[in-house]
Amino acid sequence: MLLCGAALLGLHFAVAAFSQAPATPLKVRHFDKVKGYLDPYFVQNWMLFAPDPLADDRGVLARAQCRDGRVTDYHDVTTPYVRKAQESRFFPSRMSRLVSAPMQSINATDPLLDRLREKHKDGKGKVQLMPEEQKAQDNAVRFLARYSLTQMPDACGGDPQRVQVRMYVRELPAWSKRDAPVKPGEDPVQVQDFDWLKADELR
Amino acid sequence: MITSLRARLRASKSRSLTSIDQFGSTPFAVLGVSGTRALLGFVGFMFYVSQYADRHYLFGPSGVESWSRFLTILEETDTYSLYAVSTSTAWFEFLFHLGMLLALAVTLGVGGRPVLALHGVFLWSVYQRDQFLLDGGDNLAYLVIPMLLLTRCYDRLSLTSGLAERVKDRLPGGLRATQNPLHNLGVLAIAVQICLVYVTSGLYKVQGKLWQDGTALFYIMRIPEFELPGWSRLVYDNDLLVIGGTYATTLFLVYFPLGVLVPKLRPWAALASIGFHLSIAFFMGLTGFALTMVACDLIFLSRPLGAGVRLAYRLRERVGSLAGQRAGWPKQPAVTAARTASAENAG
Repeated sequence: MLLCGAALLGLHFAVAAFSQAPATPLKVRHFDKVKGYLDPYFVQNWMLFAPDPLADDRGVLARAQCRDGRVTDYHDVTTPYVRKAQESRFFPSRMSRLVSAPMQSINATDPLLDRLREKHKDGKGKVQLMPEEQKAQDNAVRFLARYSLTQMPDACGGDPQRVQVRMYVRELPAWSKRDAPVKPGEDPVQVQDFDWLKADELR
Repeated sequence: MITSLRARLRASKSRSLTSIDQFGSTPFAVLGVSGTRALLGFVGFMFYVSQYADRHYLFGPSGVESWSRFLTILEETDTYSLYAVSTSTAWFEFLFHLGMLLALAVTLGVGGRPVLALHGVFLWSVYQRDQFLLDGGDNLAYLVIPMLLLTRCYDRLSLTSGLAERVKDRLPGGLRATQNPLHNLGVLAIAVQICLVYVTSGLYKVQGKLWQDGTALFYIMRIPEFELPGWSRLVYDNDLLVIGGTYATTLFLVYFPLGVLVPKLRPWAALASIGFHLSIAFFMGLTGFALTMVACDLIFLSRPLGAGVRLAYRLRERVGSLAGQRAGWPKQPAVTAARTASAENAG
């Protein structure tokens, strides 16, 4: 029984380790089978902060459009919970992840396709988002919009018609420029605006 | 020459047979794995506690993740969540508070493995309600709980209810004999799992440019979500700490299994891991993640833990005798104590 159990464990961990391997021809061929076994109770992902850790300040802003057509200012729906997380070192609130995790799933595109995209950055052969990737992105944006609505309860007297999410990525100074003075007016921030979504459909 | 070779072969064969025999009969790392159970239970308990004020917003029927999306995700991943059973607030409150109590029971060691299994079901259910909240620690927790179910993780560090013992005595001998091999397999599984975690994350770090440059810590520690204002700066403004810390992280992660395989290095590897994860908890605010990793490291620390527990016993006895109230303390004969300790703290 002992040997039998050990063999089963060995097999299980061989499969689990295979699921963590980089994209190899072997993995491309067999990953679906492996996933079928691991899903959902043995799924794991241990690429913690690797290979390329996040290195920027990113978050979302949101604005609403009222029933009379007026558009509100952008609300910062990110920073308050980041502050809250910074304030405690003993099981701090996880609310800030309601922004960072969906943002990650917006950017988590298929690694193999990403290689192709890197190759054909512009012009011919540009690789569009696959339906699955598009779906994941739409779901994440819808979640962020719904979350944002709950974070700006007073916008438009509490009854906005539509809401729009803006994602920002502000690059932090690189290691080589860590001592360089910040030039006024220079803020290396990139933004991406997503489509307006109807508030009623999000509720 | 040939005869001596044969003799040596025979000797090594009998040695490996004895070690297999021992693996089947002696439970290893009972104290360590009991510590894993207690600490994992505590982390689970704190998952509920730290989200308590926001529980309706995060997990309730009209929570931030829409109900229809919640059901769709469950269907897509082909799994269950007790929270999906009903949209009534009363049901939600019942589940949430019961889940909290179960986690507390696991921490204190009440109810034995059936309660641990129930805790696993409840924890999985609450995780499914809002997946965006989860991190690697939660991932490791739901992988390790089934492995813990194989082990005798309630033998130590628990308020025994007595019921479990009585049930165990009623079991037929054949079934009882499977206990120790199953326990050892469970401990082995946790050990392999934690090695897989560290080696995977280490090897991917080796491939990353910032990790190669030795500057990864400089970038990670400035991400607002993972920064501790006033403290992180002390590390990321110091070139030596940044480069040393980045390389030490990668080296530690990649070589952890070797540290565990060599018995003499084992406690040191585990201690290094605990130090590493406690600093993650402090600087990055990932308490749950860090303590889950620490909990799994405890299986390598049975011997030092045993020494610690014995020291605590002796201190308590001395304090008790000084106060002149020896009655009331449970007294264990020194010989049996030593015998159990030497067997159960091995490994």
